[in-house]
This record gives sequence, structure tokens and C-alpha cells, in this order.
Amino acid sequence: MKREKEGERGMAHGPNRGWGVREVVTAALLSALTVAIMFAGAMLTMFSYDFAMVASGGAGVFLSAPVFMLMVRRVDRFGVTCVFATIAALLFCTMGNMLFMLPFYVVGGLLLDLVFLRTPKQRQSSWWATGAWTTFSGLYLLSTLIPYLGNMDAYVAQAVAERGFDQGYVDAFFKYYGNPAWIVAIMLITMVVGFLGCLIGRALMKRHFERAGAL
Amino acid sequence: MSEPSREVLSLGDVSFAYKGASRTVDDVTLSVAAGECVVLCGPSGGGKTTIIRLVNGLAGGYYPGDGGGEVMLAGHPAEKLALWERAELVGSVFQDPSTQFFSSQLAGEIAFTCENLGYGHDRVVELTDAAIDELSLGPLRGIPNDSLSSGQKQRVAIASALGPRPTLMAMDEPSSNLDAAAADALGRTMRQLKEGGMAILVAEHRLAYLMDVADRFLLVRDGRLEREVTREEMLALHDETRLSWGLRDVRETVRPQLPSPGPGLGKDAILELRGLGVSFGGRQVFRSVSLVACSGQIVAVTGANGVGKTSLARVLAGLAKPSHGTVLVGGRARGRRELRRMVWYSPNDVKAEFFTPSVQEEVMLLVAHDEPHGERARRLLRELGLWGLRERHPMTLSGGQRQRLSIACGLMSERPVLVLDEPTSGLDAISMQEVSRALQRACDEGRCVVVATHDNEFMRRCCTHAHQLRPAERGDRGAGLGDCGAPRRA
Amino acid sequence: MGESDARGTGLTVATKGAVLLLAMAACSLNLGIYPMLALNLSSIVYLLVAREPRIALGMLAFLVILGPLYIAYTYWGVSPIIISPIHVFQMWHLFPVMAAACVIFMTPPGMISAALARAHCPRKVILGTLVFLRFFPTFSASWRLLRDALRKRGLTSWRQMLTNPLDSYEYVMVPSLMSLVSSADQLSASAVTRAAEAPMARSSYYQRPAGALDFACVAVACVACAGAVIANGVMG
Repeated sequence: MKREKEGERGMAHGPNRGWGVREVVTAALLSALTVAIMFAGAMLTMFSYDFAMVASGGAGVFLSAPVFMLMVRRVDRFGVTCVFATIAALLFCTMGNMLFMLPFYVVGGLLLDLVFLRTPKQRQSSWWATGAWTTFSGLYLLSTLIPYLGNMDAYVAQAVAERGFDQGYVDAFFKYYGNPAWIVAIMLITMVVGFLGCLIGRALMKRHFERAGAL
Repeated sequence: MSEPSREVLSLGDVSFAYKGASRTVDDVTLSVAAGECVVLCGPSGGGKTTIIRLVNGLAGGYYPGDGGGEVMLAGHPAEKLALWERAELVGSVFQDPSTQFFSSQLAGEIAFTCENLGYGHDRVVELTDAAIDELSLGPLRGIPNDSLSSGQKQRVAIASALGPRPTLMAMDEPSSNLDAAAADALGRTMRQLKEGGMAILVAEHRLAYLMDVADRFLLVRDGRLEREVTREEMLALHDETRLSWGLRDVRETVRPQLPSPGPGLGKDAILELRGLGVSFGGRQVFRSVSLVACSGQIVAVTGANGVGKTSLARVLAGLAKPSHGTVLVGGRARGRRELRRMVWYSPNDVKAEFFTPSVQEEVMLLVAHDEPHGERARRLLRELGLWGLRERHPMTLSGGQRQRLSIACGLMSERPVLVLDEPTSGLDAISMQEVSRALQRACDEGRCVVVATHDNEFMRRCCTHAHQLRPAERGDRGAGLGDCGAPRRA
Repeated sequence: MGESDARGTGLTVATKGAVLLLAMAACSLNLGIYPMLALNLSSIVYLLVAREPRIALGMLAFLVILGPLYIAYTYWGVSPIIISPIHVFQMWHLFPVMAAACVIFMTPPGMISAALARAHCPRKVILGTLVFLRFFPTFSASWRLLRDALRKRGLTSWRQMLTNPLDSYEYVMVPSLMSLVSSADQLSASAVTRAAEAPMARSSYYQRPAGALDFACVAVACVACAGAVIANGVMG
């Protein structure tokens, strides 16, 4: 597992020069914190099926948005989102994701870097970082559906048969994820919440980190 | 400059300015020979750290900026050396070793530099094990680095710098987290290195532990080398001159003989401990601590490292649970929740203390925003010398300024008791005096102050009473010199 | 020598990585209760082989609680109150992955970096991994300080948190980020003075070739996973 992570990281800073020691250290520590907060945020929503279905992704991206923004501005190198997404995907693997989802995160992170955070000017502007995180929020939510892509009914039927999921869970699952309208709605909710998190992140950058000379 | 062949480091007319800041270091010329220990001393913010960084290459390399002059390392012009090449010539030791570890194991940490330099496996093992033996760290091999004491951590950091056998050690306030005994041990280690022919350049304002090691002292103030002081001159230095240079005592200060705390004349006890004990997972740290402290007293709680000073402070502040005994404030036994409202606690490390973007807002946090409080805040900031800094973000303050800000917040919170844990560790003499004045200010307002400390100079300056904490094993009589309450036997 | 370090012995990192991958592969299939139970119990044995007796004990205790919860829920529909059933499922079905990941996380960083260096990883990647492993001690130290500071000021009371959620968020987030950022700076300054930027291939203090135990461990893990999958098919 580690080795793959390393491969991705190597790739991430391969194409451009300038990932120095400071950037590597900052990216590693702040990525770890982002993932930890995303996980904690998701845990907070687990008290009800309905709420968990709709908000578990959103709570995570909302709470961790400022960490991502700080990371983009402090690391200020191409590939920062890709490195973060790779670390996140690998950690998610030990918490229930499947290994085959790794490439989605790596490619997704790289695309976000290319679109939003390619130049130093973009990385220093909090609007571009906001765009990157908002898009990431949506993609992150969609990525949780990747395992069901083949045939959701069959997957869930199998889950009921083999794992004994209770009917309440299955109903809730179908209510939200069996319905394309709900999927789009949840994705939009997650994106909006991620965007709001970025607004707070922006305020914190201005209020604290710029004044403290941490940027 | 007399024997260039033995000269390991020389700086000629070196100046440096960090990017976006005014010049920090100006026209510095100095040299260090093999087997020589040179101490850069002077007040905080005078440029000592920058000189050390110019030697190990951080200034200009890692911290961007512009400089002039020439730095020569073992005969090589330093500007032609890459940062990693300097690692073979200069070993660096910093203030707080625990934030610089890359590994949780001792050998892995010490081997880090050699591994980075790509030495062959056998050479890495040989150099690492030699460094471990040299600092007698062998017995600690099995212990995770994070569980070592601060003195042991600093020894690991030195061993780690020793790895590739550099000819020069550049140390930046290496004793700032150590108590007197650990600092003495550090001094002995440095002496041993020096006798082995190592050149040592150390920036420090705490001098007592260096007196048997140092050959010369260079006073650095306002970015310049003001003068060279010999050991004899330093020992004969007048107290006032020394304090104005920001230097701590040059001799081991004798612990002042202070009375044990008790009810004062006509004063009521504010804080009382009855038979207090603390244990960690079955191990009794201390027991049967009883004392009474009144308003206007500054009570020092002393004792060797690991005797539980910090635990006692946290118990007083309601942040930790005592294993037995009670804490009374204002004559009534208080639970932890009440203690948290009545006792202000400043930890040794104030890096996570502040929540708002300016000093001004920080003292007003959770305080009613009305005119009397605003007026009081302004007065406090002036009295504690923070008025000029009121717009600054707390994270940009120096260590001493942060301690004073924490005291100011404590005074604003109108709590009768203030508890501080090692407020002066790592502070130069000027900041230490300012912190003492702030505490005296708290006393004048009628607060009761308890300070866990091993800083004798600071105790002499402001403490009115002292209580020696003793470990639990040593007799059941408890630690109370002035037992006023009835100690409860466990 | 390095072998005298308390945790410097046991399986090689490559072995541990292989076991983790096997566990992930086996757990990605929906195994029935008996094959899964067999796998979960064998991961306890694996923890013992990897010389992590304390974790083995902890995980065994965890399994003792988790198993009945899972069975109660699957067969009798008893729904646990606090933990959601989703979590019970996930934990039951990921138990071997958690155990294998624990073993990797507990491996001394020096051994991990040695394994990565042998695999010719770029040095920045090795540095990143080492720093990543330092996240937990670094962050937990500053978290303890922050918790004290919050409690002292009364910022952790429910009233304060519910009436001013945004402020509470700021008070938690800003100090933790500030101290993490300053730790990152100090760590990188220390790395720079310790030749972290050197261009040559990294070498290592710890060096141990795979032994018989490693091969046996991988082989047994293969057999266990394959056996569980086949048994699942037969029973299904």
C-alpha cells in the first residue's frame, strides 16, 4: 500500500520542479489532518440513516475546507490536490473503500490541479482554491457510488442477502441513491456545503493566517 | 585568525536581511577553531539565531533573504556548498528537539542524516552506533523517542547531529526546555565533544551550564557583535550590566530561602490544598500535599523534574483529577468544574493558548464589552508592556510576550487564583524580569499566584513563598513544609 | 546493532504490505459469517506473529464485542443504539484490513523507510511517508494543549458551542492549524540541516532480508484468504 502511495506522490511532483522539503512536509501533515477531519465529520452524521445518507460527505468537506485552502497556499506547488487525494484515497482504503477506487482519486486530483491550481497566481487566489474544493466535494460524493456503478439493485439485494442489512437501511439507501434526482441533489448539497466551508476558510485566512504571517 | 589551519568556521563582514524585513545581522566577523567553544550571548531578538542559521545555511537557503560577506566552513566558501553538503560539516541542534524528530525510534532518528547522505549500510550503522555510544544512549534504544525526558531528547538530537562526524556544532539555545540538572548534563556533553576536537558555536542567554565549556563569549545585540567577553570578565560582570544584556545568571543560583506558604497577617487564605495526591496509571507521583496560600502571595512550587509539578498545576486548574485530597478556593472544597472557573492556568507551552486575531481582542475574549472592562483591558495592557503590541496577532509574539499576554488574560478573567507552569523556561533575562513584574502586578491586585518553576533566579526576583514537592516514595510525611491542613493518609 | 531495538525485529515491511493487500482483496468480497470469522481470528494470530501482542489483545477484545453485535443484528435484528449498523458491518468485514494496517502503522519508521529505499522510491516520497507517520504524535501533543486551553476558558461548554458554533469552530481550528504549520516548519528546517535534499540514493540503518518466517507468513496468509473465499463459495 505504501509503495503505491509513494509512486503517486512521485508522479505528482515529477512534471514540475520545486517540491522541496518544506512542501513535502507541509503537504503530508496537512493532508493527514484534512482526512482526519473529513472522517470525524462523517462520523458526526451517523446518528440517523437519512441524515447520514444526505450529509455525511457534506459534513466532512465543510469542516475540512480551511485546511485544504491553507495547504494550497502554503505548499504552492503544482500537484498539491493530487497528492492530497492520493493520501486520502489510501487512508479511505483502510476504512472501507476498495483499492480499485484509487485511480479515480489520483486522476481526479490531477484534473483539479490542471483546471484550478495550475499557476502560482491561481494557487494564491482563494477563489481558485474554493473552486477546486467545491468541485472536489462533488466528485468525492460521486466517488462513493463507484462500487454500485454496475448494478445497484443487484448489489443491494446481495447486501441484504449476504450481510443482512436491515430494511430501514435498504429503504433509506434506495430512497436517496436509487433515484438520480436525489443523487444530483445530494451532490449539489455537498458542493454548496463545501463552498460554504471555503467561505469560512477564506475568512479565517484573512483574519488569522495572513495577519500571523503564516502565508 | 592566527592559525588558519585549525580554523573550522569564519565569518567575515557577514550581514543578512530576511526577505521583506529590515537587516537582522550586520557586519559580523568571527571565527571558531577546532576544539573551541564560542558562545553568542545577548538578548532575544538580537540576531543570535540568525548567525547560527547563517552558519548552518538555513538563512539564505531555507529562509529566503539577502546577505553579504563571506562564510568559510572548514576552508570552503560556504556559498559554494549546497545545503546538504553543509550537513557533513555542521551539525545543528535546535531549541525544542521533540518537534524535530522524524522517527519514533532512537537509532532511526540518529541515522537520519547518514541515511540521507547515502552512506553505505555498514558505514551508517558504524557512525550511528558510535554516536549512540558517545552520548551513552544505548540503554534508551528500546524506548520511543516521544517518551524520553526533555534532557534525553536533547541528547538524541545532539547524537543525531553527530552522525556524519561534522567538525562544527551550531546550537541554537539548546537548553531552553531543560531544567538545571539536565542543562548541566548538556554542558558536560558539550565539554566531552569539545575535548574530542569539535568546534562549538552556541547561541544562548542562559550561561551557568556553559561556564566550564565556553572559551569566549560574544555579545550580540541589535544585529551586531558588540564585544568579546572572556570567562573571567563574564564571572565578574555586574548584575545590572548582565541583566541589561539579557543574560541569565552566570553561576548556579542558589535557591532562595523562602518561607513556606501559610496564612499571612490579617489575610485570608484563598487557596488551600488538603492531602492532595496524584497518580498516573497506578504509580503514585506525589501524595499528601497540603498548603495554604493567600492573596498577594506568589508561591513557587519547586522540585526535580518528573516530581509532578505540572500535574499539580493541572489539578489546581481543574484540568486533571487528583487521586485523593481536596482543593479549596475561598474556603470551600471545589470540584473540577468550579476550579476551571476560579483558577487561571498558563501552561509552559503557550502555543495553543490564543484564539483571536489580535492581542486586544484576546484579553477581551468572553469578557463583557463595556466601558469599565475596556478601560481595565487598556490599563492592563499598558502595565504589562503589551500596549504597543495590541494590534499584533498573538502568534507573532515572542515567548515572553505570550506569557505576559496569558497573564493579562488571566487577570481580565477576574479569577482569584493564577497557576503558571514554568513561565520562564527559555526566556532571556529581560523577558524574565517582565514576567516577574506582571506576576507582581497580579499580586498587587490581590490575586494568589502559584508558579511551578525550577528557575532560582526568577524565584528570587518575585516569589514570596516556596513549597518543595517531593516524590511519593520518600516517606509518608508528605511534601508539605508548612502543613496547615490535616494531611490525609492514603 | 539495530536488531536490539525493541521493535526492530519481526516480519519485513514487504511481508506486512503483502498481507495487507491480501486482506484487502479477501475483504472486498462479501464473505459469509463463518469464513469471515475464520479470517478475523487468523488476523489475531497474524498480530501475534508480527510481535504486536498488546494490539492483538486489544483487537481480540474488540472482536469479542463486535462479533455478538454483528450476530445479534444479522440474525435477530437487534439494532445497537449508539453505533450505527453500517459501522458494525464495516468493522466486521474490515477487521483483517484494520489488523494488517495496524501492523504497518506500528512498524518502526526506520524499517519502513529502509523498505522504501530498497524499492527505489524517490527520497521525497520517503520523507513524506516519515512525516506522515509523525502526524499522530505531533498532532496529539498540540491537541492536548488546545483542549486544556479551551476547557480553561469555558469554551467547551455545550452552551458556548451551541450558541456560537462558528466561533467554537474557529477556536478549535485556528490554534490546531497554527501549531501544525509551525511544526511543519520546524520539521522541515531540521530536515534541511540534516541533508534531506541530498541528491544521492538514500541508504538505511536497518537492513534485513526476508527470512523463512516471512515466506511462511505470506504463504499462510494466501492459503487463509483463498480458503475463506472457497469455503464461502461452497457454503453459499
